[in-house]
Amino acid sequence: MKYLLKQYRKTKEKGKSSGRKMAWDRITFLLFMICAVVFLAGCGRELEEREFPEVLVIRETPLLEALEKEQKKNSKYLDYGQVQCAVFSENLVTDPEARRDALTCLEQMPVFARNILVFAGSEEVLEKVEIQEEGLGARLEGFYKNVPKQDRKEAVTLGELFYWLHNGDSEVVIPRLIMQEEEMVLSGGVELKAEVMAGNFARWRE
Amino acid sequence: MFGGNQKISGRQLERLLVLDGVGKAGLLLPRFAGRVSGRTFLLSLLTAVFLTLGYTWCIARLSRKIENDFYSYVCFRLGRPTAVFLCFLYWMYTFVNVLFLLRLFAAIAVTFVLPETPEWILIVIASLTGIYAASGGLEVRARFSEVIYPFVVYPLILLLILAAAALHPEAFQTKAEPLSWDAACRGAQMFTAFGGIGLFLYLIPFAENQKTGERALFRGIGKILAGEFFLFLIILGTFGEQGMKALPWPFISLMSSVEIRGVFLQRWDVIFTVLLLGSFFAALATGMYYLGFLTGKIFFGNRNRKLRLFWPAAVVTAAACVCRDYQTAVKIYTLLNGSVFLPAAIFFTILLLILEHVREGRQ
Repeated sequence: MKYLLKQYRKTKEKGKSSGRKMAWDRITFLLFMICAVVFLAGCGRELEEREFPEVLVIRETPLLEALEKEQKKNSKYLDYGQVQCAVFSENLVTDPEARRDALTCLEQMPVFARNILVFAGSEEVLEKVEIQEEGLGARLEGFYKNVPKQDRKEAVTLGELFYWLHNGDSEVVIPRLIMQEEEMVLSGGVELKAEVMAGNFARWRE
Repeated sequence: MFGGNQKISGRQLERLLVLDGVGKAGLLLPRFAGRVSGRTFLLSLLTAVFLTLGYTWCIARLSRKIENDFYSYVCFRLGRPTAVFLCFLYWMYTFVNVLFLLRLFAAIAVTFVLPETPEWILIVIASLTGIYAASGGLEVRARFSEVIYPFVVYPLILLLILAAAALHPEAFQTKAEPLSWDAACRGAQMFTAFGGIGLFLYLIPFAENQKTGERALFRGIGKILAGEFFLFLIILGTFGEQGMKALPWPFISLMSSVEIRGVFLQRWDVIFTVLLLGSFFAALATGMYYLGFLTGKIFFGNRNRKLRLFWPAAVVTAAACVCRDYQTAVKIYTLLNGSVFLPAAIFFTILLLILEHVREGRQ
């Protein structure tokens, strides 16, 4: 308020035309900034109210309901924007219907980046992953990213799975995680045969 | 800082054009993919490219005949009522365009960046930014576009290069299809995304000179068309034709599928999205500027510069807030601009060209 009055007085001192214009510009800009700060500063939850899982566990469909169930178990808001890896249940990955439902749902949720690494795991692995130890996402990524070139394995990302789902004219092998002496290691993979999802036009189209 | 002579350079003009079209076209064109194959989609896009180049040529030819400004020129050739009607036509085109851009901005921001923010807040803030940039006049708007251009366009070019490295070559192995009538019609619909270049006729008197303006027009349009064509080539190669149809905004999904080794950020694609949204501010400034400019021609003359900008801006912002959702805005845009205002504007452009040709023939 004091600042606005100061601007108005400045207008009178400087003279009418250019001073008034400058004052009105400043006032408009100030009002705009106040609106922006008031409206956007309160946009959604604070960082302290959020939890950022590094690994997404997918064991059942419909996926949305599974995510809601997971949210209800947690006091903080689960923000999936920082997910680095997704671990599918082996049963789900080998069930065509469930697999298609899960992938279709994931594709329509932009919060999941398409460069998320994908794994398949048994129930034992899923239970270990669900603990969400710190640095788990980086450890799983480390199977591919911190390995000498000659030992580097072929990673599968969510984007590649989506490509296979829509245009699948080749096979995809999802790396399998197993428990070995309390640690997760890669062992083989789950092979997905060529499959084309006919008539899949998203609800965005008429 | 500014010459105060209401003139802008060719580079500024070119950058205004590019920023006006790059985001809108990239996000709107997949809408026309429908149920056609990827090859047909690209053929339709090529049709739109040729239509746009043809229209650009017509505008460039006509701009050579304009001595003072386009409004005076139309008054002289076709009479004042026609000139006012043409202004109104472009005003309606710009109104629908700005409404669409506001809705698009809000939809993208809510989907990818700020999911818990109501859309109307984002619409109002984007609108206020556009009004503020437009209120400074043409030189301010041109300088604004010139400054943000490298921050928006160069990262997007980097994105395309990185995405090109991860293409699936088998996605291009589809059976050959000739250009069908359906593809041609689709191309005509896609042309709607680039139709705003007709407003250049009102802008040409503000270019340094006519030749500079004409070259900037062709450079700007050429860059947009080339960029959009390569963008969709890469989108098809990355997602495949079915994958592209399943995504509402494959341009942004492309950002999240590209991998940059050694980058410590997990979701740096959000940064690209924000930069893309930055281009919308420039496009909205352009839209608001034209709304104010044309309102002045129709109603206010050269008086009340602020009033002629604020009231149409307020109306279009209210309309965008009231408009149900983004899908409704797209329908309004494709129906009104694509089927009514743009064809009418093209008709008048060609009519004026024919009149000039007849006049030259008589002389």
